[in-house]
Amino acid sequence: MNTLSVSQVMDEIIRLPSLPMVVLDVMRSFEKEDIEVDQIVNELAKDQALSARVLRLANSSFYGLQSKIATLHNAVVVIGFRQLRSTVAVVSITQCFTNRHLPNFDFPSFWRHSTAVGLAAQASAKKTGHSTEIAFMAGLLHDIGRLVLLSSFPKHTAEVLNFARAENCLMLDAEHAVIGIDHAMVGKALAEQWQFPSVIGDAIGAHHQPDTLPATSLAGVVHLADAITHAMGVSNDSKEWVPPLSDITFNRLNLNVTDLQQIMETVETRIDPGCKALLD
Amino acid sequence: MIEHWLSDNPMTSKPVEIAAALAKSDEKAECLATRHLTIEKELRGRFRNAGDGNATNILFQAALEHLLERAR
Repeated sequence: MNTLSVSQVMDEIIRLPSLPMVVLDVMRSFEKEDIEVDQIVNELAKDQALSARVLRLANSSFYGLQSKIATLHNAVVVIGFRQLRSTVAVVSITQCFTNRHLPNFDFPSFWRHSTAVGLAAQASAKKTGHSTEIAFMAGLLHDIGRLVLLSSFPKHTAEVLNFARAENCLMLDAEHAVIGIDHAMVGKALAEQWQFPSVIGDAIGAHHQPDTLPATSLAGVVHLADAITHAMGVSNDSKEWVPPLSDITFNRLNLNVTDLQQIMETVETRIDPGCKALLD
Repeated sequence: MIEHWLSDNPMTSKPVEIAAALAKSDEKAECLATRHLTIEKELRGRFRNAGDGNATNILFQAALEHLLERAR
């Protein structure tokens, strides 16, 4: 099996369906100070299928709201634009990769792990002073490169899986050994193509090597959240391993055992409603 | 152990009741210890890089405490 080059991966990423224009506007708004909220919400409201999915998620037990949200404008008032845009982004991106595209892939397990990493990143960010909203997004999307590899390079991915099983090693190491490129690099390339805010793209790209970025980066938060989630065995995979947690990153984040336990409790409390809301 | 149990149950003096209660408490302690070992073994299997004092080991300790707390 040949290794993959960055240009081969980029060619495939360009072929993937792009996000709707209004969702790209939403993604760009993460890095903007002056946001035309009404204009974005008006555009979102025109996409009835997307609006319906966003409202269903906003009204789910994941958000735990007491009153029902009937419209997107209503959602801005009740949950705020920041929360609404995260919801729009989550709904849109999860819809891009479904069983329709990858019939044999275990999506529930994948999104369960991803949602847990989002929740762990959010809870960690609350302690480290990072943006909780962006940390959730970065955590949720940290492994999106795996979906690109699966959908665009299924034979290569099968080789990677076989290698990981045979050598009893982490998927990341199997990716390096078999295809010479890893899901984090691919995820970052997709994030750039889909115009995610650079803070999210950088965190996706460096979540296995957070020490390569400055201490203020979100990569460390996502790196820790990923390790916490694997430690908890959230995806119920008996072969689940905890990737090595960087000492440098852990020291930079300045968290202790009690903090880690509190983050685990948060994940445990919110993971089931989160998955139900995202996957139903 | 008997003194401790009797101080908690001052009205009971029948040997059968004392023996039954002690057996139950031993069983519970044994059951907890077994469960503890199972959880620790399963968790250890997920960690390959935990070494003395490193961040991965701190995470292991936190996860173990979390899982034991949940099991209690």
